[in-house]
Amino acid sequence: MFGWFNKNKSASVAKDRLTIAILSDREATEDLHFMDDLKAEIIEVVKKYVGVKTVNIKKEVENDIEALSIDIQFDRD
Amino acid sequence: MGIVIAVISGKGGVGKTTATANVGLGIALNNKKCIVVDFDIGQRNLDMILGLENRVVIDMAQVMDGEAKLKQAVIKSKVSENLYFLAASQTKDKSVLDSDKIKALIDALKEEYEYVILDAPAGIESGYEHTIEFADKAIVVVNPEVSSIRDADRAIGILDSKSQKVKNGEEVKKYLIINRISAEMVQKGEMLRSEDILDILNIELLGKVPEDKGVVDASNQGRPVVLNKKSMAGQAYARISGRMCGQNIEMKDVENASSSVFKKLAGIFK
Repeated sequence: MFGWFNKNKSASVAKDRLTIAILSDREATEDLHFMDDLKAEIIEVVKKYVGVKTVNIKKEVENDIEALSIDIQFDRD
Repeated sequence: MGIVIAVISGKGGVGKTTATANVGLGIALNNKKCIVVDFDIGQRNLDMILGLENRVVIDMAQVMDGEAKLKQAVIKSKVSENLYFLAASQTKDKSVLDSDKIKALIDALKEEYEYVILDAPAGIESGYEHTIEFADKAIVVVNPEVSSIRDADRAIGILDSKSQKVKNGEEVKKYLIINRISAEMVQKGEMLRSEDILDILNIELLGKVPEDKGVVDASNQGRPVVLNKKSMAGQAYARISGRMCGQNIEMKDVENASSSVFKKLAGIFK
């Protein structure tokens, strides 16, 4: 009964809101860490064949489709 | 070789500096040579809480810039011969927090002291990233309140991506202090329980500190509350310090401790 009673209290509202807010915070930053590693590895691989100036990776979300767009700029020198 | 513990929080005003002072003094009272360093340059309160504000002559920035020797800057506490203090910069801003200089300072401190405790700037402030870079462990201080917990999670995220230990493939162990718990509010369901906070942050619990008027009284006098054996918060910090020294001390249920009426009520409805 006490548990049911608690459901309507602000502490349980706080927990629900926090859980969602923190999950989305973490998602946003985790993407960034993984991007840095990915970027470094792509540079390593492409460098074996051609000079690389910069690599840009963007996450794109459209409706249900998530995609990574990767721009690799060659270094002509 | 000493161990470096950064005391961190997401936002300011959660009692991080009070925690630093009390954990530092508590460790010193366990006969460990301990230095607390004020890296929270924007706030700069650690000297007041330790009652050492009148003895600050040379600050940490002057040592880092080579203007003074470390030995000249370190202040010995009046209440414990094992506790030492290094003040935040009085004149310079957070731009003094340069990675190489901090490393040199911390390496020197590790040679001399068993415990090096850093009062870090809040996680959302500049200077935080550099302060936590060379920490071996971190104590995270939160209040049972949404913004404090959310910001703490971000501060932990930054620690996990910027610390040197993590970059070397090791783990920076994190411990949680939940500060300013009101047993009455928790029982009424108006304050997050510590289990809920642990679920969300997913780190190890170091201790629960109840809301206690003795904390303000202690900082008024410049005598950290851990010295007050009658204070609930003081007792909590004594237990926390013992745990940091490797003692196995049972977790006290401060959420059910203070009000016997609520305890009985909770018992009935469980």
